[in-house]
Formats: sequence, structure tokens, C-alpha cells
Amino acid sequence: MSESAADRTYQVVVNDEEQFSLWDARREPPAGWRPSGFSGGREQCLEHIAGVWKDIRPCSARPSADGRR
Amino acid sequence: MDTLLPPLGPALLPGLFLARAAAHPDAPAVLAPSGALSYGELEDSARRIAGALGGMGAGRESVVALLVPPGPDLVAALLGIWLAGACYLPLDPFAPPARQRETVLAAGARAVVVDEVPGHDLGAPAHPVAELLAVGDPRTPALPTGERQAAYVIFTSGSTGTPKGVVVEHAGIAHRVLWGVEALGLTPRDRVLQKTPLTFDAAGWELFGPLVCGAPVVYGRPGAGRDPAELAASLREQRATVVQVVPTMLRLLAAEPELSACTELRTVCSAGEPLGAELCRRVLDRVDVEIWNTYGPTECSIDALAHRYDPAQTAGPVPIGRPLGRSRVVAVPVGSEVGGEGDAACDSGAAEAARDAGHAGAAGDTGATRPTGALSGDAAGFPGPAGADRLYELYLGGPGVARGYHGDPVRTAERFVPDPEGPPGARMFRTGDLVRRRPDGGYEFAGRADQQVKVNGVRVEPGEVEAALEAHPAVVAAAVRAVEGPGGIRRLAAWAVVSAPGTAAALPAYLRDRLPPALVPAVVTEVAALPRTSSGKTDHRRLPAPDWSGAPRAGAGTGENASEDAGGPTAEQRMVLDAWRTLLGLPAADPPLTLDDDFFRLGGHSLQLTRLAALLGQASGRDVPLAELHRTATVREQAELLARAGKAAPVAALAEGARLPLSHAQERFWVLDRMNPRSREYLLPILVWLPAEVPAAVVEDAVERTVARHEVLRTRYAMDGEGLFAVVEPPGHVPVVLRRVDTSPEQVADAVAEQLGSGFDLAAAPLLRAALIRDGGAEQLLLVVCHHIVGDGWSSHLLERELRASVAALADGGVPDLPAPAVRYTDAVAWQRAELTADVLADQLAYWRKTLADAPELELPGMRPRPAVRGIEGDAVVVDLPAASAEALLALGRRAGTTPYVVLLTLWAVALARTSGAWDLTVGTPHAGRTRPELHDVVGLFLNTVVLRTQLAPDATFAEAVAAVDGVCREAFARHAAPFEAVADAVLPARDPSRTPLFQNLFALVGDGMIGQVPRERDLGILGRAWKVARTDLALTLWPRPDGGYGGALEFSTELYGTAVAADLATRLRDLAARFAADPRLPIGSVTLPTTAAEAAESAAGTAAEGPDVEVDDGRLETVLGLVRELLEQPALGPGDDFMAAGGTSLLAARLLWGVQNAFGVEVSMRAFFDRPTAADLAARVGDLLPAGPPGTGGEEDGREPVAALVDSPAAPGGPTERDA
Repeated sequence: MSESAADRTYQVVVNDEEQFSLWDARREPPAGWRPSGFSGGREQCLEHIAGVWKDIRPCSARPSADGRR
Repeated sequence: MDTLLPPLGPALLPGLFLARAAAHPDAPAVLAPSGALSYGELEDSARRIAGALGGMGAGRESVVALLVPPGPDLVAALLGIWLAGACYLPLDPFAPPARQRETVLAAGARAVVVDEVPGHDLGAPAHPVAELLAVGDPRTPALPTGERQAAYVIFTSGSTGTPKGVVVEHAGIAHRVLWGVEALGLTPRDRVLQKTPLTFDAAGWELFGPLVCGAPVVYGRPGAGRDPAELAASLREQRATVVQVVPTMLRLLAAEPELSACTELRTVCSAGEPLGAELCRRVLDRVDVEIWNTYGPTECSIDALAHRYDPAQTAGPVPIGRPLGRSRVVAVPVGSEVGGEGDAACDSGAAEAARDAGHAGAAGDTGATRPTGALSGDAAGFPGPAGADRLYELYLGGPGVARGYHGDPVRTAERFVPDPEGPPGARMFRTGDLVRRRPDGGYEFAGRADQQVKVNGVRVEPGEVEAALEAHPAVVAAAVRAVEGPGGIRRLAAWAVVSAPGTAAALPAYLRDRLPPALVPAVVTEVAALPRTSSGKTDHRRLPAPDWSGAPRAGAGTGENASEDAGGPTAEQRMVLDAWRTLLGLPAADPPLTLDDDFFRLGGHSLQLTRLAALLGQASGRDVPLAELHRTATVREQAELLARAGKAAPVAALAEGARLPLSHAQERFWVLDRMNPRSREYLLPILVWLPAEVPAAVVEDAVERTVARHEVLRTRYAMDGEGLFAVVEPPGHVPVVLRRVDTSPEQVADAVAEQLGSGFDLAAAPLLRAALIRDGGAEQLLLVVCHHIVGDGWSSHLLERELRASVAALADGGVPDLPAPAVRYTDAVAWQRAELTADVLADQLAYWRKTLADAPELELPGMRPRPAVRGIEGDAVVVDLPAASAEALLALGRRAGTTPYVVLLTLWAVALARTSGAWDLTVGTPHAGRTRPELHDVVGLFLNTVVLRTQLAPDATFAEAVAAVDGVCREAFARHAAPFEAVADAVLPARDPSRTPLFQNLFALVGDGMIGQVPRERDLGILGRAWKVARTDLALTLWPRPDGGYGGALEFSTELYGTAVAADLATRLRDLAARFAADPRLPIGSVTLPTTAAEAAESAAGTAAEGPDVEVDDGRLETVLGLVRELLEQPALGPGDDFMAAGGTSLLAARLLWGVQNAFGVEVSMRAFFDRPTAADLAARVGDLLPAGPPGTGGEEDGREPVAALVDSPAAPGGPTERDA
């Protein structure tokens, strides 16, 4: 909630379940997370996420992973 | 993965339930007032519902919405949705229809499971549970559940103005539920009360906790989730062992007297709001329980931390404790951000973050947590006790972390962030909650990092409410925050800058159509501008205090209200005003309420709405829809709702020429009159004081017009082979004579006494007489005396008002302009009789039979031997309850949520018990019976007498006694429709002429707008001297005085009691009031009082005289027996069988005697018949009365019987014969 959060640089990260989030652009993402390749200000990152993350279901819960009944 | 929990794979809730159902199909799974289901039946229902939903295309990851009231169907529907693979979306039954629809659409639900298809569009096809059960196959296979599969979607308030749908996965909810089963030690013998509405995620464990451990899901009363009294009653009645409540409700529950009776309760879980140790202490004072304080946002599957309250803690906030199960906590110093800092962010976060994770099973217990991961808390150097005031923001990790926000990747990505300490790829949720570390390692809630507030456990984003306000065209800007409202209850308040001054008052109503009730501010204050911080944000600290006192006055100054309400409040508006005064404890007249006053602004709370609905329901006899009541706030709106609720079944007009029935109350008076023909006991005096100069002819004209206006004043009563019926004579066909009496002031009472000296012949109309009594003073008295069969006290006020208005108009040379009565009395009677169906009556009589069985009779010390036949001679002493005592007692009543009536009745019951030494008492009390507003302006008899049986415990406190009496009244008044005579017949088939049946004392509170108005002292004085009648042994009538005290009259039978006994009782009443006012915790049985000067008790009279043996002529007996058998429809009845015991009623007895008179030409009196009500005896009496009949052992026709056999008692009168004018 710091006043300058908007000025920081973030990277968009994604995990194996294809869930997206933000992480400090200058740090390695934690284990199980990888950079999606996009970085920028907070709002830009969120805008990017809005464009690429269409289905918030984890991979393992998507019908393709189970096969439809 | 060190864990005591079962491995997650198979241990998901649907599978665990199915395993339980397979193992113990006969065990109870759902227990509810509406029905019960075994595990086998529940599984059957769930599979049917799953099959039906699957047939509609529901499957994994599809959303099925739910709008089903608590009960077996709800549980079956939830499980059915899960077995179909789908996830459930609970809808708020109290939300506006538009909001329900938006929720369904936002979640993309494909169907809504409902109880009944609602009148509005829900945004997806609605399917009643019954339909799904009928359609679905009970052998539908359950779709295997996946850990990451969505279990439910719950919408919470969203700061940007749109609610957020939190999607929780099966692994998450299973983790929380199984932790609870273990931590609380739930077993199949537990009874967890399911009272939390499903829209709160916490309802989940109340449902699935029991179902995975083989216990039943237990439902209580419908209002248990909203009303503390209903909750306490449910806990007691259902013998609940575990309950979950938010602290707002827990505070109210702790004050419920009935809580002490919840002896099975062992665990109370508090969640949703900060919990204080003081409240815990109060709870422990009442019940022996363990108290858990759990904490967690919906985004973490209900709860993530838990703390078992330590009774040694006596003050301050109860900690939220340690992570539960495999939950993990990352506490980040405020100002930092995990994964989002600058250079030092992660280091800083890592170095200072307190990381904590609980042991499964033992978690939250006694601090058996340990840090995990590379950066363990202790090693990371977080501040110890010295830094106890340091604030951290809580991040939560572990299995409970939800999937995110439905259809909202952006907000999901913002709040669900990578968890550097969790398993690879794990996320944690940034709660926005601030905490302090405690020296013992636990956490303490310390507020929010943002603006989010909790009101009554509901999470509210002020931003959402502000956005909704700003959507109003006249609102320029708005601010919302939670404040301490009247009564110390936390409420939502709003401030608005508006373009049109005066708009603010209308804004709550505007919001109620758009937002769920919890999000609607209790008050909107108009401000010229919102205070801003230096950065331009609203400065909430500088907002002015909300204005609770000044009620909004929409339309004030335009004259709009005045003209609209020129006719005075409608009946519905009066009922709403009365209910508010009761609930909110507002004085009757000062300051006057207006139609646009706002319930919430005057201190009302949504938790009181259930009680309000009940009060309005009682007053109107209508089913007040609670969901719609949530969307109203002003008197006007609630009255409109009440009016709509009454539109369903109007009182229909009887066809021309239809046989006119009597009301049950009228039948009772008719029977009473038959037993004591032309008795002066059942009179209704109406006293109208008029200026002396009004000519008698004008008064006579007014009386004639009144008689012409009201059918009941022109009605006579007759009986034929079908029974009793009413005959309405046309206007002008009834002779009305105004007697002129000129007398002196000293003789007025005698003149009145003369008018009250005799009764009426009910077979001839009119059943009234009128006299104009002039005593030479400035006023003359118009005295109208009606038979009580004509009307009740309510009617006498209507007539008085009307006579006064007519006289005024006629004296001015005009014509009275009175609206025609909305409903004819005979139509109302037909409606009332149709309402009381045989089933309803049988139900109510069953209750009365059980409740009043073996009720003892009341005898005070000093009672004289009871004469064999009750006389009606009476007298009265004055009762005075000073304002100081009365106000304190009434305040106590308000805190307990009950009415002045109940408090004063309790006082009376205690006074009687203390005087008589008997704590098991019955009290008769009038019930107005005008259960529809249309009936409020009808002259006629609606009154019924209800018998209240109080069985107070002498060691109870007065406060507890009030609660007990409140319960008695609620139960009894719910069965007010059963006519007293029918109750008496059902409970006591044999009548004892020496006393009134079922009760020997009456209690009435007048002047509350329901039973009658406050009597005038002068009229009381006159009636007291002129009409000395005792309706039963003792009768207390109280009325409020302007000074806040109560005045009253204690009437007593002069045959039984001396004035000293009554005076002592009146003194005792006053002494008790003073003692309990000073300390309501005093035990009612042992509080010390001055001893009374009661006269020595004398034993009651000896046994009743033996009846003569009777020999009868067989032919006569055959006829009589035939009549008896026909009337009772019992062809096998014998000559010696008791008519009353065999199902006879007083009315049937009257019909029997009518038949006997037709057959033999002789009239046997009711009282004689009741003395020995068998066919054989009746035939013998007929023989005695026949001129040349065979000699019976009875002897001559007159004066040959023992008095006890000759004269029967009047049964109970129809309630107090109101003495006010």
C-alpha cells in the first residue's frame, strides 16, 4: 500500500496451472513460477494479464484436463 | 506434507458424505421442523437432484445457483449440485430481485434451484427442488470430485462497485471442514445448528462438518439466523451442541434469558468480526461452553486462523490465534509488499515477515505451531514483545487459498500472489487485514489496510456503496464508513454531496432496490463537500457525525404530506407505528413519529426485522414477507407492504339472503345469556359527554343514524333446527328511544345504574338502550348501553367517536359525513369462521388441551367459601404503579425485546403467585381478534379470551420471568383463533357453576390502541358506583398515565374476597414493581415484601350435592336420546353418557334444548341441563316440567332442587367488559 507502488516495475509471472500474478521485476520468481515475458508498471502488467488470462480455472480443473463427461 | 488430516485425494466432502451414507444409511442426516432425512434418504435425494441437473447439462465447473430456504431440501440440493460435479452459488433471499439476477448472470449460472418459482426473472431457468426430485434418478452415479474443482462461488462486496465472486475449490473447503471436525471433536452425537445463511461462506462447515462425521445437520426456527430470541429457542429446542455466531449476534444472544436453558451447548464459534473477552465472559456466565474465535476471508475457504478462548482472559480483544490445519501465515510489515517491493522488497519482506504455519490437528490449540520454510519466523528476527504494537499485513497461504474471483483475472492476479514459502507454484492471498504479533506467537486483528468494513459480520466495501450512491443522478460525491450507531451497534453511514438539497433522505430507499440489505447505510447525511486529505482522498476522520436524531422529512414544507395524510394514518400505518414504538421503545406521543421516519435511523437494526415482521403479523393477521420488509425503511413503505400483504384474500360479501352466522364470540355471549337470561353482566356501556345545550332531538337523531349505519345494532338472534343465526332488521324498523333523565350531579351514578340494571332479550332488536342524562351542569351525558353481543371495547370507542361527530354535525345544522364501513360485520364473521377451519381449530384445541390440562384453580388466602353458584357482585380497588417503577420495568422489557403488556402481566402473575403461594397459574386475557386492518373500523364483537398458563420458577429472576411469560404469550396468542368456549369445552367438559372455567383472574392492558383507550377518571368513577359486577374472582385492568406510570382497577368478587384482600394485592403489585425496577435480577419467589394483612384462608365449600336418582318414561328418553345421538353424530351413545364429555359443546347443548322444546313444548334451562348433562337426566327434567308428567324424584316444579343443581354458572365472559367510554 505504499504510495510509490504505482511507480515500481513488476513482471507478469505464471505457474504450471496457468495462473497469473505479479512479481518484482528485479527478483527471480519463486519456485514453480516463471516470467511470462511481460514487465512494466503495475497497471500495465494488470492490463496485460487481462489480455492473456481469459480463464482463471487452473489447468487441472479445465474440462480438457479431465475429458468431458 | 506432515499432516494428521486424511490425504486430500479421496478426502473431499462429496466422497466423505457418500462414505458416511453407505456406512450408516439409517442415521439421521437432517433434522428440521419441516422434516427429517436419514443419510440414506439424503443420498437418494441428492442423487436425484444430481441426475436432474446433469440432464440439463450441469457438470464439472458449471455453476448452479440456489434459492432454497433452510431445511432438508437445501441440504439435498447442495449435495446434488456437488454430485453432479457442479459448484453452487447461494443467492441472498433478502437481496432485491435485480441484485439476485445480476449475481446469477455474473456467475454464469445455468440454472437456479428454488423452493418455489419466484415471480421475478432470476437470470436463469428456475427449477423447484420438488421437480428435480421427481425427475432425477436415485441411481445417478456421482461424478468424481477433483481437488481443484470449484465447490462454490460466493459473492462479496467489491470496492470498485461490482461484487466479486470468490471461487472456492474442493481441496480448500475440505481442509477447513476437516480441521473443524477434528478441532471441535465433532462426533455423530453432536448437533450442530445450521443457522448461518448460505450467503456467508461460514455456513459451509455447519453443513458439511456434521455430514462428514455422521452427525445430523440440525435446523431450528426459521428466524434462528437473524433473531436472538429465535436462536436461543432453537438451541434449546434442538438440544444443539455446537453453534456459530458473529459477535454482533453473540452480544444479543448473551442477553437472551433462554440461553441459560441451552444446557447441551458445548461449543460456540465466533467469526466474522473482532471478538472481545468481555463478551466471552458474559457468555460463560450463562452457559458452560468452549469458545472458538476463528478468522479468515472468504478467499481462504472460511477460516485460516483459530484461537480457543482462554477463560483466564477477562478483557481486551480475543486473539485470532494461529494458523489452522495446513494454513500458513505470512505477516508482512505494513508498507512492504511481497513480490512487489523495490530493491529491498523481497529481502525486507523476507527478513521481517513473520511466517507461520500450523500443525494439522493440533493447530490453533495451544500455540503448537511452528515456523516452516527457509525463512522461519523466529530466525527472521521479527519483533518480539517489544514490537508488539507493530502492524503487519496478513497474507495467507495453504490449501484454503481460493481459485480467485470469478471472471476477473485482474483482481485475481492482484490479490492472489506467488507464495515464496509454499510448494512450487503456490499462491497466497493478500487479505488487506492488519494484525499484531502477540508475545505468545499468536495474532491479534488490528483493522484493515484499506477501507473495507464489517457490519454484522458482512464484509462491506464502502467503495461499492459509494459507487451505488454516485449512480444516483442527484449525487455528486459520496463517502461511506461504519460508525457506532444508536444502541452501540455498528452500522453503515453515508455522507453525500447532492445537487438537489433534500435528496439524501430518499437515498436509502434508492439503495434498497439495488443492494443487499447489509450494504444499505442506516443513515445518509447531506454535506456541502467531502473533507479531503492532502492527497485528495476522502478524509473519513473529518466527516461530521451522522445525524441520527433528525428524521428525514421528505416533502416537508411542500404541504404534500399534510394533504395526503389529512384523513389521519391508515390502519396499516397505525400498526407500523405501534410496532415501532414497541420495538424501539419510543414514547407514545413525544416526539410524534411521521410517516417518513426511517426505522434504521431511529435506532432500528436489521436484526430486529424478524421481530418487527412478527409484531406486524400479529397485529394484522397477515403474512409479512421478511425479504420485502428488508427493503423498506419508512412507516409509509412498511404500511404499503402490509397493505399489499393483505390484498390476497379480501373479506368477501355474503350473498343476499344468505344465512347469517354469529361469530364465535357472539355465540359465547348468546350461550351465557341462555344460562343467565337477561343478566346485567354482559353489557357494553358507552358514555358520551356532550354540551348541555345540544337539544335532545339532535342527540336522538344521532343515535338513530348510528343504529341505521351499523347492521350489528339492528341485529337479533334466533335459533332453528340448523342452529343459531342472526337476523338483520332493515334501518328504520328498529325502535330507538332516547330516554330523557333529569337529575342532580349526585344522582348521575344512580341514573346510570338504572340503565345498567338489566340485560336484554337477544331475540329482539335493538340490543341497546340510550338515555340522555342531564344534571344541570354544562355537560349532559349520553349513555348508550348495548348488550356485549353487539360489540367489544373497540366498538364502543368507534361508536363514541361516531356519536360525538354526528351530534356535532347535526347541532351545526349539517349532516354527518361519515364513510360507509368498509366491511359489514356479518361478512367479517363469515370470513373469520371460514378462516378457522376444522384443521386449524383441531390443531389449536390440541395445544390448549395439552397446555391447560390439570391447571389448578387460584385461591388467595382470605377467600371466603365459594358459593355453589358464582355470583356477579363485585367491587374494585385502585391500582397505582408509579412512573419510576414502570419506566424501569418497561426498559427491561425493551431490552428483552418484549412489550409493556408482557412485563406488566409478569408482574401480575408474580403478585398472584406470591400471594397464593401457587406458581402454576392461569390468567385470562382479552385478544382483540381484529386481525385485519379492514376490521379496525367495524362495529361488532371480535374479542376472544385467551388463557395464559404461567409456571414460573420461584428462583427465576424477574428478567427471566419476563422472558418466560413472553414465550407463553407468543405460544398462546398464536392460537388465539380457538374460541374460548371451544377451549373450555375441550379442556373441561364438565362445568363447575361455582367459578369461571379455566381461569379465575383476568388481566388487561388498555390504552395501547388495541383493546381500548385510556378510560377517563370521571367515567370510571361513575361506572364504579353504578355497575358493580365482577367478571370473575379477580380482574386487573391497567392503563398508561401521561406521567409514565400506570393506573388501574383491581376488580374482585365481593362474594369471595373482602376489600382488604384486593387492597393488599394492589399494594403487593406496587411493592413488587418497585423492587424489580431497582433490581431485575432479584429472584421472584424470595424477594422480601411487607406482609399483607390477608384474612385467614378458609377452606372451600364442601362437595356438591348429590343429584337425585331419576326414573324416566322410556318414550321420552328415546326422543331425547335420539336428539343427543343426532347432534353428536354418535348413534351408540347411552342414556347415562355425559353429553359434554362425549363431545358436546354449549352451543350443541342449546340446540339440544331447542329440539327438546320443539318436541315436548317445555323449556329446560341450560343451567339445569349442565348440572347433569345426560339424556336420562334431561328426559327426567322434561317429565318434571310436563303438566301431567309422571312423578320424578325431583318433586315440584319450583324451588325443589338444591341450588347447586338449579343454577349454573355463566362460563367465562368474553373478556373484560371494557368500562371505558
